[in-house]
Amino acid sequence: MLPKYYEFQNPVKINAGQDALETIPYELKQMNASRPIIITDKGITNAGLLKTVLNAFDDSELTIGIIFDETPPDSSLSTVNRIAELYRKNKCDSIIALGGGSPMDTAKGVNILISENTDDIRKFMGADRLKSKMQPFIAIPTTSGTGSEVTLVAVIYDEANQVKMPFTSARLLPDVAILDPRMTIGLPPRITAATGMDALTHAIEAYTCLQKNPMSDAYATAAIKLVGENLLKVVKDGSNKEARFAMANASTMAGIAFSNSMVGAVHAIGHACGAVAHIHHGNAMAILLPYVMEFNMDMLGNLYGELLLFLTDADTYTTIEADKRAGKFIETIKEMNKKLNELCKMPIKLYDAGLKKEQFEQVATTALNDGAMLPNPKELSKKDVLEILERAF
Amino acid sequence: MIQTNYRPGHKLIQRSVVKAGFLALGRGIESASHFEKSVQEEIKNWQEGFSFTMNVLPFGPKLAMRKKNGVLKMISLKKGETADLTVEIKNLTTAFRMITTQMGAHHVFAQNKIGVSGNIADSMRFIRIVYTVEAYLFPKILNKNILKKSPKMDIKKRFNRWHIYTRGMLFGN
Repeated sequence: MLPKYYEFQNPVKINAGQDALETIPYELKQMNASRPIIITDKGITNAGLLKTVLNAFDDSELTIGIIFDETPPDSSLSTVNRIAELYRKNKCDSIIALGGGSPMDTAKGVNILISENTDDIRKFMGADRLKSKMQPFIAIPTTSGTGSEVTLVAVIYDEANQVKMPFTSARLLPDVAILDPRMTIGLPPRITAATGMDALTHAIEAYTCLQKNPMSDAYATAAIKLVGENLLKVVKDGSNKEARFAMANASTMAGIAFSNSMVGAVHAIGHACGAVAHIHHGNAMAILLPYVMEFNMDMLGNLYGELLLFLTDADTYTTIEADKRAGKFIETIKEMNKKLNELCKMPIKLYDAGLKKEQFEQVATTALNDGAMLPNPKELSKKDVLEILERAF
Repeated sequence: MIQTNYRPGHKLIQRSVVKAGFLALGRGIESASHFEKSVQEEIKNWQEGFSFTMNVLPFGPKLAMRKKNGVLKMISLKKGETADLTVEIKNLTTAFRMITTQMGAHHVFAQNKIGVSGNIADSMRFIRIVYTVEAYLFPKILNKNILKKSPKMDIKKRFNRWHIYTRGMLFGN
């Protein structure tokens, strides 16, 4: 059934595949930019990925204004302020984000400060607050999970007030996303598994939450198919370039889907687990996904059933009776988790991921105040969240 | 036909209905903040003096409220004054559909017809307060359209509903 109304936007140019990095100088030139800042983190530098990116600038007319690789694991207000100051001082004219969620969110925060010509990003917290033309912005993801390269959201941590500040605006979308298989080839199996399950969760929640629409459905289902076909392969053999590239595509497509459809209760509870117990986001998604789906089953069973076709194959789908497909879909995800646990020790219970029982109350309260609760079609009370945590523990 | 400087008309009926609806919602919130535990629980998280406003773009109607002495009071914001939480409904027709129970707050958010300035946790609290009061203001048959889950109306809640409809609407307590 089509929604009565929906909005869909994805203006990000996607340059994907072999030598995609080498297109960056041309893209910057097209945007009249010649002095970019590269925002990344130490892990990326140590893994040699920064060097690969810098090599792509050889024989171009550009100068890299600054290379900043001190982004912390959670993008923070002080880092964003510091980078913006460096950006201004060094007369940069464009932004390149290289990494996972943190460098991406940090870069989006810097873009707000520079483009809105402000020193206080907090004024722009919330939805649709940005009015100015943004700086040219290129995103290079190095994990296949967050989808940040195509999402309109940034979350920046305000250390002084101890709050996570969300910013939502189509103006935060990068101009270009670069999917280069070289960027994810060295990702350790456990992170590959967790980020892959994050991408799967994005796609499933995009397909089933209140804001779903035919455009986001197309991206979500294609993403689920690619995850189903490639995640286990790539965890078993990280050097499989084709599977790596497929996962990068899956992550970006799931990102486009959820940037337009939003995510639901899996993310709301997962964000809370991250905030309270510092559980890795991808791990939280993998663990919580089947249990939240079981909770939503009476309302979303038909949609879960439809997704079985994409996660498995036509033969499996047709041999299972229509009313059993949703159950099989959840079972398939649990099996995937189990296999990932066997392959790389990805935790499949909250206890193993580091959550303590005494943190349940705080997680439940935090989850109910998360914006992702709203698009979940089924209402969750605190008691419901506590029950889900208990089952996933 | 070639026409220049076309000036759009006015949706007077929609505007009047939304204005009346905001007034009823505001009175309902004021009243519920005096006795409804779930609303009081939400307000507890806000500091004294915390304010929020729900505006229809581009020029109203508006509903503004502030926490005063532990309860919520309808206020008028001074020119240039901003609230701690601002919820902006992008057009009058959407506000009309909300107020006439054709759309729930979650649908309006899902359709991206609302902009929020402020803390997301505060906006979630605000929405839960609106849900609670709407459950009192409207009968179950209409609540089905606007709430994900209609609460059970036991005798106490029925009395509360009667209270909001009488004393609450007149005096806001």
